[in-house]
Amino acid sequence: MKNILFALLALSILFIGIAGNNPAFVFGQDSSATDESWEPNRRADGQPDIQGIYINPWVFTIENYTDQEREEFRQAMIEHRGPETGAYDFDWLEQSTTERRADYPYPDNFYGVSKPTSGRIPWQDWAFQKKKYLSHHPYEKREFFDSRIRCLPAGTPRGFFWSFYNGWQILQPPGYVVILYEHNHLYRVIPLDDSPHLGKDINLWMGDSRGHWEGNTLVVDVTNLTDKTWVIGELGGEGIHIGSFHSEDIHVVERFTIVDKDNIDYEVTIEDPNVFTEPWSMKYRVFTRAPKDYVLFEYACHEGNRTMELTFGDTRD
Amino acid sequence: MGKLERGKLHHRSHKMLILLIATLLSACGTSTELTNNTASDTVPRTPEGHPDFNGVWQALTTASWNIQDHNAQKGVPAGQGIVHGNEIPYQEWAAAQQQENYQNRADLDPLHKCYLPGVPRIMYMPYPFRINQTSELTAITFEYSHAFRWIWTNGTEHPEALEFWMADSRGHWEGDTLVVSVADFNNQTWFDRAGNFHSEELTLVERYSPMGPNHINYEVTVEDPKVFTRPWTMSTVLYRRLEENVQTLDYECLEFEEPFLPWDEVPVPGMPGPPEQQN
Repeated sequence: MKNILFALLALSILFIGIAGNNPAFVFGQDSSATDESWEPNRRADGQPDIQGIYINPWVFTIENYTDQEREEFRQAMIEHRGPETGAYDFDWLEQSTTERRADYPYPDNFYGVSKPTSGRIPWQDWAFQKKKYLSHHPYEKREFFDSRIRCLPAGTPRGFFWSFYNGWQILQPPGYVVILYEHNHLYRVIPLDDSPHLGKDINLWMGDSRGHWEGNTLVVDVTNLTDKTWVIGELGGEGIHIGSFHSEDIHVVERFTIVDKDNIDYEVTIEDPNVFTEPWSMKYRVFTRAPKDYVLFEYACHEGNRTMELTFGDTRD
Repeated sequence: MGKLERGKLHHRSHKMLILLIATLLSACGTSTELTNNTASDTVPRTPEGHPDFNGVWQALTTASWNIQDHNAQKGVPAGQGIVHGNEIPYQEWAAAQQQENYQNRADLDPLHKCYLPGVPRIMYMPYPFRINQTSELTAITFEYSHAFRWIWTNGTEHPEALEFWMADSRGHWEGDTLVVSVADFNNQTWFDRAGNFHSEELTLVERYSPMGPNHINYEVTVEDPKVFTRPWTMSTVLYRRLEENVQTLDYECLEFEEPFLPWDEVPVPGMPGPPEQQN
């Protein structure tokens, strides 16, 4: 398990390498106050025009964890990784959720789990136990590893949980919204028609999306996901949300609301009767327009990924 | 001898026939034009008047196995090559390298390691892709390993001194043809499973020409001074997928490499699973 150190080192080098390419972010002032007079341009097919490149500079814990839970997780991480991994900043674990939220220039109830009001994901008991075990033993078996660490698609909504070093590009060919993800060259093609979802025996890693505009809000219905991705994750795919699994019956409804010319907010409702006791929602600012000189680069993930090999000491390719 | 004579005769009459057709064509210049117009009139167009390639497309060729003429092998269909003249002008060392690649293709083919296939190979692999076209940028999103290409059509240039698996693409319109310059390659991708390869000095010029509403003539000129003695060209046809509600799905090469924990399995013996399993 010492190999984990090398894996983490490799990952950290990857992150630093990517960070080096991108201009520093300028955290904006409180822009949560919407300028009511602002209206987006329209594209030829009538869609509000949101085409462009976006980033998401926000890192945060989605759930309202207790101090005790955070300490338990911290101890588990230290046990598995050693106290000085050099790869991850544990500062966020030492901050309470409230402190963390104070850094975020939006109202307290703006991001994270917004429904139920407890701020916690309504896991079924057995599912919570499983998820907790996975998050406390992330390196125990190959099967526990995240799709994202293996350079497979992150799923939906998790694909948007990648902060600081990566952008997204939105294209709007007539009748479609296409989202290109810089990280691991994922993409989603969202038809804006009333075509039916795929048959239930077809699964897609990023899900099968159908969208429509309600005023300045793009509403996307996502089904046909696999059971191989996590609902949410943290920076670097790690953190207390490790192992937030779901079944193939997961149903995701996303609402992308244009706030102003630079910002798009996101509210997502997640339903999975096999895993959760009720539908739940989370809410945050998903896209902030990238600085002018920002371009997306090819992020060839698997081609240089040695995480599994270094963690488990084997050489399969 | 008689056979040869007959061959010559055939050859001569063939020439005559070509001459005859050429004469007829030049005489009926107007009618040829009319035919062309009819074809181009059926091409869907963007508000700017360019051909509208939005949609799902797929090549129907065996070129991903071998871009040259080849007989069938187990699991590989026979195919007519897509290389013009069926000859790839390798430098001597490179011809030997290609032979070695071919002998060891089961191990050395970059697709065996699930690496990104590169361009142009991904254009003629047996998987569909979607062309997402807007005025300043066209993105091609591929079913194979969720790869995509950006084709910028906003007058920008290739970045210098970078190497990408899927290279860098900048396009412009010449009449109804989308002409795409592709550069910034690495030396890790192949043209096919037969070991045809290139160096990081590869550059391509792709030409996407509509043949009607549902067909694109895809022509690509290949240049690599480190590997070939001269530029060479290949072409194939991209077909629009017309099935109702057709969309690209997933082929995640890596998916088959590593095990995942199924959602209803629990990691620890004795830990309870989903309710129906507890009964």
